[in-house]
Amino acid sequence: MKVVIVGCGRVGALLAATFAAAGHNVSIIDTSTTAFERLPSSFRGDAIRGNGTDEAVLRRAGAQDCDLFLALTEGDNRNVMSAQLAAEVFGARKSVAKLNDPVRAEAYAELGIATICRTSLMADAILAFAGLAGSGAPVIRVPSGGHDDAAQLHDALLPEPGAGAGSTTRGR
Amino acid sequence: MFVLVVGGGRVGYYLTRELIQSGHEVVLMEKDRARATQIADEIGSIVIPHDGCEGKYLAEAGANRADVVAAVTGDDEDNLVICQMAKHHFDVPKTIARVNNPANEALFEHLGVDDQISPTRMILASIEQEIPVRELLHLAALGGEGDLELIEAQIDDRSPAIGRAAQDLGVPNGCSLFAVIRGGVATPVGSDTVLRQGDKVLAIGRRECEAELREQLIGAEIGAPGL
Amino acid sequence: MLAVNGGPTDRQIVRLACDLAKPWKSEIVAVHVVEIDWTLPLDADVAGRSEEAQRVLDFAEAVAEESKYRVQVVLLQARDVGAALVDEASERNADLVVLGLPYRTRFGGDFEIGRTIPYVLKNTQCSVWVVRQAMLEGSP
Repeated sequence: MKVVIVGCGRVGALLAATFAAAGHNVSIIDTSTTAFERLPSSFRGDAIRGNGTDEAVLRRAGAQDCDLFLALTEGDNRNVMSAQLAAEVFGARKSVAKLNDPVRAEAYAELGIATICRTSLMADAILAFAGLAGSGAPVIRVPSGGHDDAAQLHDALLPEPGAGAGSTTRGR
Repeated sequence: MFVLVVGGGRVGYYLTRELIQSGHEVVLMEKDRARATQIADEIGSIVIPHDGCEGKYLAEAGANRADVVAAVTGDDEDNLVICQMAKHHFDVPKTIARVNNPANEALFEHLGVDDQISPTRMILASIEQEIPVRELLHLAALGGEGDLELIEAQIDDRSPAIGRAAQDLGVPNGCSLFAVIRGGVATPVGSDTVLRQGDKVLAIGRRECEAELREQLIGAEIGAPGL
Repeated sequence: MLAVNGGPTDRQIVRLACDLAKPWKSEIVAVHVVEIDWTLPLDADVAGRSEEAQRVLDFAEAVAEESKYRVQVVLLQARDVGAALVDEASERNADLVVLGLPYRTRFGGDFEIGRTIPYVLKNTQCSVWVVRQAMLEGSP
Protein backbone atom coordinates (compact mmCIF):
# COMPACT_ATOMS: atom_id res chain seq x y z
CA MET A 1 0.00 0.00 0.00
CA LYS A 2 0.94 3.65 -0.36
CA VAL A 3 1.84 5.34 2.96
CA VAL A 4 2.56 9.06 3.44
CA ILE A 5 4.03 10.22 6.74
CA VAL A 6 4.43 13.85 7.81
CA GLY A 7 7.04 14.43 10.50
CA CYS A 8 10.27 12.46 10.63
CA GLY A 9 10.60 12.33 14.40
CA ARG A 10 11.31 9.13 16.30
CA VAL A 11 7.85 7.70 15.71
CA GLY A 12 7.62 8.86 12.10
CA ALA A 13 11.05 7.49 11.20
CA LEU A 14 10.39 4.16 12.91
CA LEU A 15 7.07 3.71 11.12
CA ALA A 16 8.53 4.77 7.77
CA ALA A 17 11.33 2.23 8.10
CA THR A 18 8.95 -0.52 9.21
CA PHE A 19 6.41 0.05 6.44
CA ALA A 20 9.18 0.25 3.82
CA ALA A 21 10.86 -2.91 5.10
CA ALA A 22 7.52 -4.68 4.80
CA GLY A 23 7.51 -3.79 1.11
CA HIS A 24 5.11 -0.82 1.18
CA ASN A 25 5.52 2.34 -0.84
CA VAL A 26 6.48 5.06 1.69
CA SER A 27 6.98 8.83 1.42
CA ILE A 28 8.07 10.77 4.47
CA ILE A 29 7.92 14.57 4.72
CA ASP A 30 9.76 16.88 7.10
CA THR A 31 10.72 20.54 7.08
CA SER A 32 14.25 19.72 8.13
CA THR A 33 16.59 17.46 6.18
CA THR A 34 18.55 16.64 9.33
CA ALA A 35 15.44 14.88 10.60
CA PHE A 36 15.91 12.32 7.82
CA GLU A 37 19.11 11.18 9.54
CA ARG A 38 16.80 9.20 11.82
CA LEU A 39 15.95 6.95 8.87
CA PRO A 40 18.05 3.80 8.52
CA SER A 41 20.45 3.74 5.57
CA SER A 42 18.48 0.79 4.20
CA PHE A 43 15.35 2.97 3.83
CA ARG A 44 14.03 2.63 0.28
CA GLY A 45 11.17 5.14 0.34
CA ASP A 46 11.02 8.82 -0.62
CA ALA A 47 12.14 11.51 1.81
CA ILE A 48 10.73 14.90 0.90
CA ARG A 49 11.71 18.19 2.44
CA GLY A 50 8.73 20.51 2.84
CA ASN A 51 5.75 21.66 4.88
CA GLY A 52 3.12 18.98 5.38
CA THR A 53 0.27 21.50 5.33
CA ASP A 54 1.27 22.62 1.83
CA GLU A 55 -0.87 21.07 -0.88
CA ALA A 56 1.96 21.12 -3.43
CA VAL A 57 4.28 19.26 -1.07
CA LEU A 58 1.66 16.62 -0.34
CA ARG A 59 1.04 16.19 -4.04
CA ARG A 60 4.77 15.77 -4.61
CA ALA A 61 4.80 13.12 -1.91
CA GLY A 62 2.07 11.25 -3.75
CA ALA A 63 -0.72 11.83 -1.27
CA GLN A 64 -3.31 11.35 -4.02
CA ASP A 65 -5.43 8.41 -3.08
CA CYS A 66 -2.81 7.05 -0.68
CA ASP A 67 -3.97 4.22 1.54
CA LEU A 68 -2.62 5.57 4.79
CA PHE A 69 -1.71 9.12 5.74
CA LEU A 70 -0.05 9.84 9.09
CA ALA A 71 0.42 13.36 10.47
CA LEU A 72 2.95 13.00 13.29
CA THR A 73 4.64 16.39 13.74
CA GLU A 74 4.93 18.16 17.09
CA GLY A 75 2.16 20.64 16.25
CA ASP A 76 -1.40 19.54 16.92
CA ASN A 77 -2.89 22.03 14.51
CA ARG A 78 -0.42 21.29 11.77
CA ASN A 79 -1.29 17.61 12.09
CA VAL A 80 -5.00 18.31 12.01
CA MET A 81 -4.69 20.48 8.93
CA SER A 82 -2.53 18.09 6.92
CA ALA A 83 -4.66 15.09 7.89
CA GLN A 84 -7.76 16.96 6.72
CA LEU A 85 -6.03 17.98 3.50
CA ALA A 86 -5.13 14.35 2.86
CA ALA A 87 -8.61 13.08 3.61
CA GLU A 88 -10.64 15.81 1.94
CA VAL A 89 -8.49 16.98 -0.95
CA PHE A 90 -6.39 13.97 -1.79
CA GLY A 91 -8.86 11.25 -0.94
CA ALA A 92 -6.56 9.35 1.42
CA ARG A 93 -8.37 6.20 2.55
CA LYS A 94 -7.20 6.45 6.15
CA SER A 95 -5.89 9.65 7.62
CA VAL A 96 -4.55 9.88 11.15
CA ALA A 97 -3.50 12.97 13.13
CA LYS A 98 -1.41 12.75 16.27
CA LEU A 99 -2.63 15.15 18.94
CA ASN A 100 -1.56 16.09 22.44
CA ASP A 101 -4.80 17.79 23.44
CA PRO A 102 -7.47 15.17 24.30
CA VAL A 103 -10.32 17.64 23.69
CA ARG A 104 -9.17 18.26 20.15
CA ALA A 105 -8.61 14.53 19.60
CA GLU A 106 -12.24 13.91 20.42
CA ALA A 107 -13.54 16.84 18.40
CA TYR A 108 -11.65 15.90 15.26
CA ALA A 109 -12.76 12.30 15.28
CA GLU A 110 -16.21 13.83 14.75
CA LEU A 111 -14.85 15.79 11.82
CA GLY A 112 -13.75 12.89 9.70
CA ILE A 113 -10.14 12.11 10.58
CA ALA A 114 -8.79 9.46 12.91
CA THR A 115 -6.86 10.80 15.88
CA ILE A 116 -4.37 9.37 18.27
CA CYS A 117 -3.80 11.22 21.52
CA ARG A 118 -0.42 10.76 23.12
CA THR A 119 -1.59 12.26 26.41
CA SER A 120 -4.43 9.83 27.07
CA LEU A 121 -2.46 6.96 25.54
CA MET A 122 0.46 7.34 27.94
CA ALA A 123 -1.69 8.12 30.94
CA ASP A 124 -3.86 5.05 30.31
CA ALA A 125 -0.83 2.80 29.77
CA ILE A 126 0.76 3.94 33.02
CA LEU A 127 -2.51 3.67 34.94
CA ALA A 128 -3.01 0.13 33.64
CA PHE A 129 0.55 -0.77 34.64
CA ALA A 130 -0.20 0.56 38.13
CA GLY A 131 -3.37 -1.47 38.25
CA LEU A 132 -5.76 1.48 38.00
CA ALA A 133 -8.61 2.08 35.61
CA GLY A 134 -7.75 4.46 32.75
CA SER A 135 -9.91 6.96 30.92
CA GLY A 136 -11.26 4.22 28.69
CA ALA A 137 -10.50 6.38 25.64
CA PRO A 138 -9.78 4.33 22.51
CA VAL A 139 -6.14 4.16 21.41
CA ILE A 140 -7.08 5.56 18.02
CA ARG A 141 -10.36 7.38 17.63
CA VAL A 142 -11.83 6.43 14.32
CA PRO A 143 -13.76 9.08 12.44
CA SER A 144 -17.45 9.09 13.21
CA GLY A 145 -18.55 11.80 10.81
CA GLY A 146 -17.13 14.01 8.14
CA HIS A 147 -17.83 16.18 5.19
CA ASP A 148 -20.13 14.45 2.81
CA ASP A 149 -19.11 16.53 -0.17
CA ALA A 150 -15.46 15.56 0.10
CA ALA A 151 -15.47 13.98 -3.31
CA GLN A 152 -16.69 17.22 -4.86
CA LEU A 153 -13.80 19.22 -3.41
CA HIS A 154 -11.46 16.45 -4.41
CA ASP A 155 -12.51 16.94 -8.03
CA ALA A 156 -12.49 20.72 -7.84
CA LEU A 157 -8.99 20.98 -6.45
CA LEU A 158 -7.38 18.25 -8.49
CA PRO A 159 -8.10 18.99 -12.13
CA GLU A 160 -5.16 16.87 -13.20
CA PRO A 161 -3.20 14.39 -11.19
CA GLY A 162 0.30 15.63 -10.42
CA ALA A 163 3.30 13.61 -11.45
CA GLY A 164 4.15 12.92 -7.83
CA ALA A 165 6.21 10.07 -6.52
CA GLY A 166 3.09 8.10 -5.74
CA SER A 167 1.35 8.43 -9.08
CA THR A 168 2.14 4.86 -10.03
CA THR A 169 0.32 3.41 -7.07
CA ARG A 170 -2.92 5.30 -7.54
CA GLY A 171 -6.20 3.54 -8.14
CA ARG A 172 -8.88 2.20 -5.87
CA MET B 1 -22.63 41.44 19.38
CA PHE B 2 -20.21 39.32 21.37
CA VAL B 3 -17.04 38.76 19.37
CA LEU B 4 -14.22 36.42 20.31
CA VAL B 5 -10.93 37.43 18.69
CA VAL B 6 -8.10 34.89 18.74
CA GLY B 7 -4.58 36.12 18.13
CA GLY B 8 -3.17 39.31 19.61
CA GLY B 9 -0.83 40.28 16.79
CA ARG B 10 -1.29 43.58 15.04
CA VAL B 11 -4.45 42.47 13.25
CA GLY B 12 -6.05 41.11 16.41
CA TYR B 13 -5.04 44.12 18.44
CA TYR B 14 -6.45 46.74 16.08
CA LEU B 15 -9.52 44.64 15.36
CA THR B 16 -10.26 44.40 19.07
CA ARG B 17 -9.82 48.13 19.55
CA GLU B 18 -12.10 48.97 16.64
CA LEU B 19 -14.76 46.53 17.78
CA ILE B 20 -14.77 48.01 21.28
CA GLN B 21 -15.04 51.48 19.84
CA SER B 22 -18.07 50.50 17.83
CA GLY B 23 -19.71 49.24 20.99
CA HIS B 24 -19.31 45.48 20.72
CA GLU B 25 -18.46 43.16 23.53
CA VAL B 26 -15.04 41.64 22.79
CA VAL B 27 -12.70 39.08 24.29
CA LEU B 28 -9.20 38.69 22.93
CA MET B 29 -7.26 35.46 23.38
CA GLU B 30 -3.47 35.63 23.11
CA LYS B 31 -1.31 32.72 24.20
CA ASP B 32 1.87 34.70 24.68
CA ARG B 33 1.55 35.89 28.26
CA ALA B 34 3.80 38.92 27.91
CA ARG B 35 1.96 40.11 24.83
CA ALA B 36 -1.40 39.47 26.51
CA THR B 37 -0.40 41.53 29.53
CA GLN B 38 0.84 44.34 27.32
CA ILE B 39 -2.48 44.49 25.46
CA ALA B 40 -4.50 44.26 28.68
CA ASP B 41 -2.52 47.22 30.07
CA GLU B 42 -3.51 49.22 27.02
CA ILE B 43 -7.12 48.29 26.38
CA GLY B 44 -8.34 46.77 29.61
CA SER B 45 -9.20 43.47 31.18
CA ILE B 46 -10.65 41.76 28.14
CA VAL B 47 -7.63 39.62 27.36
CA ILE B 48 -7.43 35.92 28.14
CA PRO B 49 -3.78 34.85 28.19
CA HIS B 50 -4.33 31.37 26.79
CA ASP B 51 -4.24 29.38 23.56
CA GLY B 52 -7.49 29.74 21.63
CA CYS B 53 -6.91 26.37 19.97
CA GLU B 54 -7.59 24.53 23.18
CA GLY B 55 -11.18 23.58 23.84
CA LYS B 56 -10.89 24.26 27.54
CA TYR B 57 -9.83 27.87 27.07
CA LEU B 58 -12.32 28.55 24.29
CA ALA B 59 -14.99 27.50 26.77
CA GLU B 60 -13.59 29.86 29.41
CA ALA B 61 -13.63 32.70 26.92
CA GLY B 62 -17.36 32.25 26.43
CA ALA B 63 -17.29 30.61 22.98
CA ASN B 64 -20.66 29.08 23.90
CA ARG B 65 -22.36 32.47 23.59
CA ALA B 66 -20.13 34.14 20.96
CA ASP B 67 -21.87 35.54 17.90
CA VAL B 68 -18.63 35.67 15.95
CA VAL B 69 -15.22 34.05 16.32
CA ALA B 70 -12.42 35.73 14.38
CA ALA B 71 -9.22 33.68 14.13
CA VAL B 72 -6.49 36.11 13.11
CA THR B 73 -3.24 34.52 14.23
CA GLY B 74 -0.31 34.38 11.82
CA ASP B 75 -0.65 30.62 11.38
CA ASP B 76 -3.22 29.23 8.95
CA GLU B 77 -3.40 25.87 10.68
CA ASP B 78 -4.17 27.52 14.01
CA ASN B 79 -6.85 29.69 12.44
CA LEU B 80 -8.42 26.64 10.83
CA VAL B 81 -8.51 24.70 14.09
CA ILE B 82 -9.91 27.66 16.03
CA CYS B 83 -12.74 28.09 13.52
CA GLN B 84 -13.51 24.39 13.38
CA MET B 85 -13.58 24.05 17.15
CA ALA B 86 -15.79 27.15 17.40
CA LYS B 87 -18.15 25.92 14.71
CA HIS B 88 -18.48 22.28 15.60
CA HIS B 89 -17.84 22.23 19.31
CA PHE B 90 -19.46 25.50 20.37
CA ASP B 91 -21.99 26.12 17.58
CA VAL B 92 -20.73 29.64 16.92
CA PRO B 93 -22.93 31.15 14.17
CA LYS B 94 -20.12 32.89 12.27
CA THR B 95 -16.45 32.03 12.04
CA ILE B 96 -13.88 34.16 10.26
CA ALA B 97 -10.32 33.10 9.50
CA ARG B 98 -7.33 35.04 8.36
CA VAL B 99 -5.75 33.01 5.58
CA ASN B 100 -2.14 33.77 4.79
CA ASN B 101 -1.55 31.20 2.08
CA PRO B 102 -4.11 31.72 -0.73
CA ALA B 103 -3.78 28.03 -1.58
CA ASN B 104 -5.61 27.24 1.66
CA GLU B 105 -8.75 29.19 0.79
CA ALA B 106 -10.67 26.38 -0.88
CA LEU B 107 -9.86 23.95 1.91
CA PHE B 108 -10.93 26.40 4.61
CA GLU B 109 -14.22 27.08 2.91
CA HIS B 110 -14.84 23.40 2.46
CA LEU B 111 -14.06 22.65 6.08
CA GLY B 112 -16.72 25.00 7.34
CA VAL B 113 -14.99 28.35 7.87
CA ASP B 114 -17.76 30.85 7.14
CA ASP B 115 -15.63 33.73 6.01
CA GLN B 116 -12.01 34.17 5.16
CA ILE B 117 -9.83 37.18 4.79
CA SER B 118 -6.66 36.77 2.81
CA PRO B 119 -4.28 39.72 3.00
CA THR B 120 -2.06 38.04 0.42
CA ARG B 121 -4.95 37.73 -2.01
CA MET B 122 -6.02 41.34 -1.44
CA ILE B 123 -2.58 42.72 -2.10
CA LEU B 124 -2.30 40.55 -5.20
CA ALA B 125 -5.63 41.85 -6.43
CA SER B 126 -4.52 45.40 -5.80
CA ILE B 127 -1.30 44.85 -7.73
CA GLU B 128 -3.21 43.28 -10.60
CA GLN B 129 -5.39 46.37 -10.85
CA GLU B 130 -2.35 48.61 -11.08
CA ILE B 131 -0.54 46.79 -13.87
CA PRO B 132 -1.81 47.53 -17.39
CA VAL B 133 -1.65 44.06 -18.94
CA ARG B 134 -4.00 42.54 -21.43
CA GLU B 135 -5.64 40.43 -18.84
CA LEU B 136 -8.89 39.97 -17.10
CA LEU B 137 -8.79 41.78 -13.79
CA HIS B 138 -10.21 40.01 -10.79
CA LEU B 139 -12.05 42.71 -8.93
CA ALA B 140 -13.55 40.50 -6.25
CA ALA B 141 -14.30 36.91 -5.41
CA LEU B 142 -17.99 36.75 -4.64
CA GLY B 143 -17.65 33.23 -3.24
CA GLY B 144 -20.75 31.36 -2.26
CA GLU B 145 -22.39 28.77 -4.43
CA GLY B 146 -20.82 28.53 -7.88
CA ASP B 147 -17.61 30.29 -6.84
CA LEU B 148 -18.44 33.52 -8.72
CA GLU B 149 -15.99 36.27 -9.50
CA LEU B 150 -16.35 39.87 -10.48
CA ILE B 151 -14.13 40.48 -13.49
CA GLU B 152 -13.12 43.50 -15.56
CA ALA B 153 -12.03 43.20 -19.20
CA GLN B 154 -10.36 45.98 -21.14
CA ILE B 155 -11.37 46.00 -24.82
CA ASP B 156 -8.21 47.02 -26.69
CA ASP B 157 -7.39 47.17 -30.41
CA ARG B 158 -6.78 43.42 -30.65
CA SER B 159 -10.07 42.40 -29.07
CA PRO B 160 -12.31 40.21 -31.24
CA ALA B 161 -15.32 41.80 -29.55
CA ILE B 162 -14.91 45.22 -31.20
CA GLY B 163 -17.92 46.19 -33.26
CA ARG B 164 -19.96 43.23 -32.12
CA ALA B 165 -23.17 43.25 -30.13
CA ALA B 166 -23.17 41.60 -26.73
CA GLN B 167 -25.66 38.94 -27.85
CA ASP B 168 -23.30 37.83 -30.63
CA LEU B 169 -20.24 37.37 -28.47
CA GLY B 170 -20.91 33.84 -27.33
CA VAL B 171 -20.45 34.63 -23.67
CA PRO B 172 -20.02 31.33 -21.84
CA ASN B 173 -22.89 29.87 -19.86
CA GLY B 174 -22.94 30.94 -16.25
CA CYS B 175 -21.34 34.26 -17.17
CA SER B 176 -23.01 37.62 -17.44
CA LEU B 177 -21.76 40.91 -18.85
CA PHE B 178 -23.59 43.55 -16.90
CA ALA B 179 -21.97 46.93 -17.43
CA VAL B 180 -19.77 48.75 -19.88
CA ILE B 181 -17.67 51.73 -18.88
CA ARG B 182 -17.09 54.17 -21.71
CA GLY B 183 -15.60 57.63 -21.25
CA GLY B 184 -15.98 57.33 -17.49
CA VAL B 185 -19.70 56.54 -17.71
CA ALA B 186 -21.12 53.16 -16.76
CA THR B 187 -24.11 51.84 -18.69
CA PRO B 188 -25.87 48.49 -18.39
CA VAL B 189 -25.08 45.99 -21.13
CA GLY B 190 -28.13 45.14 -23.25
CA SER B 191 -28.24 42.37 -25.83
CA ASP B 192 -27.74 45.00 -28.57
CA THR B 193 -24.91 46.90 -26.88
CA VAL B 194 -22.03 47.13 -29.37
CA LEU B 195 -18.58 47.08 -27.85
CA ARG B 196 -15.91 49.55 -28.89
CA GLN B 197 -12.20 49.83 -28.46
CA GLY B 198 -11.35 51.42 -25.10
CA ASP B 199 -14.44 50.04 -23.34
CA LYS B 200 -14.18 48.37 -20.03
CA VAL B 201 -16.61 45.52 -19.56
CA LEU B 202 -17.67 44.26 -16.17
CA ALA B 203 -18.72 40.63 -15.90
CA ILE B 204 -19.72 38.16 -13.27
CA GLY B 205 -18.96 34.54 -13.89
CA ARG B 206 -17.80 31.23 -12.57
CA ARG B 207 -14.07 30.83 -12.16
CA GLU B 208 -13.90 28.01 -14.69
CA CYS B 209 -15.48 30.17 -17.43
CA GLU B 210 -12.64 32.61 -17.22
CA ALA B 211 -10.50 31.24 -20.04
CA GLU B 212 -13.41 31.27 -22.45
CA LEU B 213 -14.42 34.76 -21.42
CA ARG B 214 -10.88 35.99 -21.93
CA GLU B 215 -10.89 34.57 -25.43
CA GLN B 216 -14.17 36.32 -26.30
CA LEU B 217 -13.35 39.72 -24.87
CA ILE B 218 -9.58 40.05 -25.04
CA GLY B 219 -8.43 37.60 -27.63
CA ALA B 220 -6.83 34.21 -27.61
CA GLU B 221 -3.30 35.07 -28.58
CA ILE B 222 -2.24 36.09 -25.09
CA GLY B 223 -1.51 32.95 -23.21
CA ALA B 224 -0.46 34.22 -19.82
CA PRO B 225 -2.90 32.74 -17.36
CA GLY B 226 -4.26 34.76 -14.49
CA LEU B 227 -2.84 34.43 -11.03
CA MET C 1 -13.54 52.97 50.11
CA LEU C 2 -13.12 49.42 51.39
CA ALA C 3 -12.85 46.35 49.25
CA VAL C 4 -14.58 43.46 50.98
CA ASN C 5 -14.60 39.93 49.62
CA GLY C 6 -15.78 37.67 52.42
CA GLY C 7 -12.20 36.83 53.31
CA PRO C 8 -10.54 36.71 56.72
CA THR C 9 -9.46 40.36 56.59
CA ASP C 10 -12.91 41.94 56.15
CA ARG C 11 -13.52 42.40 59.88
CA GLN C 12 -10.13 44.00 60.37
CA ILE C 13 -10.37 46.56 57.58
CA VAL C 14 -13.96 47.58 58.41
CA ARG C 15 -12.95 48.18 62.02
CA LEU C 16 -9.83 50.05 61.05
CA ALA C 17 -11.79 52.23 58.65
CA CYS C 18 -14.45 53.03 61.27
CA ASP C 19 -11.86 54.05 63.87
CA LEU C 20 -10.12 56.15 61.29
CA ALA C 21 -13.27 57.80 59.96
CA LYS C 22 -14.98 58.69 63.25
CA PRO C 23 -12.95 61.78 64.28
CA TRP C 24 -13.55 63.41 60.87
CA LYS C 25 -17.00 61.95 60.28
CA SER C 26 -15.71 60.61 56.96
CA GLU C 27 -17.91 58.64 54.67
CA ILE C 28 -17.14 54.89 54.32
CA VAL C 29 -18.19 52.80 51.37
CA ALA C 30 -17.68 49.03 51.41
CA VAL C 31 -17.54 47.60 47.89
CA HIS C 32 -17.94 43.97 46.99
CA VAL C 33 -17.24 42.93 43.41
CA VAL C 34 -18.69 39.75 41.95
CA GLU C 35 -16.57 38.59 39.04
CA ILE C 36 -18.52 37.35 36.02
CA ASP C 37 -16.63 34.98 33.75
CA TRP C 38 -16.89 35.24 30.00
CA THR C 39 -19.36 32.41 29.63
CA LEU C 40 -22.04 34.84 30.83
CA PRO C 41 -22.95 38.33 29.62
CA LEU C 42 -21.79 41.09 31.97
CA ASP C 43 -25.35 42.08 32.81
CA ALA C 44 -26.37 38.53 33.74
CA ASP C 45 -28.44 38.49 36.91
CA VAL C 46 -25.80 37.01 39.19
CA ALA C 47 -24.64 39.37 41.94
CA GLY C 48 -28.13 40.44 42.98
CA ARG C 49 -29.18 36.83 43.46
CA SER C 50 -26.05 35.77 45.25
CA GLU C 51 -26.67 35.04 48.93
CA GLU C 52 -22.94 34.90 49.39
CA ALA C 53 -22.56 38.48 48.14
CA GLN C 54 -25.35 39.60 50.45
CA ARG C 55 -23.64 37.91 53.37
CA VAL C 56 -20.38 39.71 52.67
CA LEU C 57 -22.08 43.09 52.71
CA ASP C 58 -24.25 42.27 55.74
CA PHE C 59 -21.13 41.30 57.61
CA ALA C 60 -19.42 44.61 56.79
CA GLU C 61 -22.48 46.49 58.05
CA ALA C 62 -22.60 44.42 61.21
CA VAL C 63 -18.94 45.02 62.01
CA ALA C 64 -19.41 48.76 61.47
CA GLU C 65 -22.38 48.71 63.83
CA GLU C 66 -20.22 47.11 66.50
CA SER C 67 -17.92 50.08 66.08
CA LYS C 68 -20.93 52.41 66.29
CA TYR C 69 -20.40 53.75 62.80
CA ARG C 70 -22.21 53.44 59.51
CA VAL C 71 -20.88 52.14 56.20
CA GLN C 72 -22.61 52.36 52.89
CA VAL C 73 -22.46 49.06 51.01
CA VAL C 74 -22.17 48.65 47.24
CA LEU C 75 -22.44 45.52 45.16
CA LEU C 76 -20.76 45.49 41.74
CA GLN C 77 -20.58 42.98 38.95
CA ALA C 78 -17.54 43.05 36.68
CA ARG C 79 -15.17 41.04 34.54
CA ASP C 80 -12.21 41.94 36.67
CA VAL C 81 -12.18 42.87 40.37
CA GLY C 82 -9.13 45.12 40.16
CA ALA C 83 -10.42 47.18 37.27
CA ALA C 84 -13.83 47.53 38.93
CA LEU C 85 -12.28 48.78 42.19
CA VAL C 86 -10.11 51.31 40.40
CA ASP C 87 -13.08 52.65 38.42
CA GLU C 88 -15.31 52.80 41.48
CA ALA C 89 -12.68 54.67 43.54
CA SER C 90 -12.25 57.22 40.80
CA GLU C 91 -15.98 57.67 40.25
CA ARG C 92 -16.57 58.22 43.95
CA ASN C 93 -13.59 60.51 44.31
CA ALA C 94 -12.31 58.32 47.11
CA ASP C 95 -9.52 59.73 49.25
CA LEU C 96 -8.34 56.33 50.38
CA VAL C 97 -8.80 52.75 49.23
CA VAL C 98 -8.26 49.98 51.79
CA LEU C 99 -7.81 46.33 50.84
CA GLY C 100 -7.15 43.31 52.96
CA LEU C 101 -4.57 40.68 52.08
CA PRO C 102 -4.79 37.28 53.72
CA TYR C 103 -1.42 35.74 54.43
CA ARG C 104 -1.09 32.88 52.00
CA THR C 105 1.49 30.95 50.07
CA ARG C 106 1.20 29.17 46.79
CA PHE C 107 1.53 25.38 47.01
CA GLY C 108 3.30 25.86 50.31
CA GLY C 109 6.01 27.85 48.55
CA ASP C 110 6.33 31.56 47.98
CA PHE C 111 4.15 34.23 49.51
CA GLU C 112 1.46 35.19 47.01
CA ILE C 113 -0.15 38.57 46.54
CA GLY C 114 -2.55 37.68 43.72
CA ARG C 115 -3.30 40.04 40.85
CA THR C 116 -6.00 42.35 42.18
CA ILE C 117 -3.84 44.15 44.74
CA PRO C 118 -0.92 44.86 42.38
CA TYR C 119 -3.44 46.14 39.83
CA VAL C 120 -5.12 48.47 42.33
CA LEU C 121 -1.76 49.67 43.68
CA LYS C 122 -0.60 50.42 40.19
CA ASN C 123 -3.72 52.09 38.83
CA THR C 124 -5.62 53.89 41.60
CA GLN C 125 -5.28 57.69 41.73
CA CYS C 126 -5.73 58.14 45.46
CA SER C 127 -3.81 56.57 48.33
CA VAL C 128 -4.10 52.84 48.81
CA TRP C 129 -3.61 50.91 52.01
CA VAL C 130 -3.11 47.18 51.97
CA VAL C 131 -3.69 45.53 55.33
CA ARG C 132 -1.91 42.21 55.44
CA GLN C 133 -3.33 39.66 57.82
CA ALA C 134 -0.95 38.63 60.61
CA MET C 135 0.89 35.37 60.02
CA LEU C 136 -0.84 32.45 61.64
CA GLU C 137 0.83 30.39 64.36
CA GLY C 138 3.20 27.99 62.66
CA SER C 139 3.54 30.05 59.48
CA PRO C 140 7.09 30.54 58.23
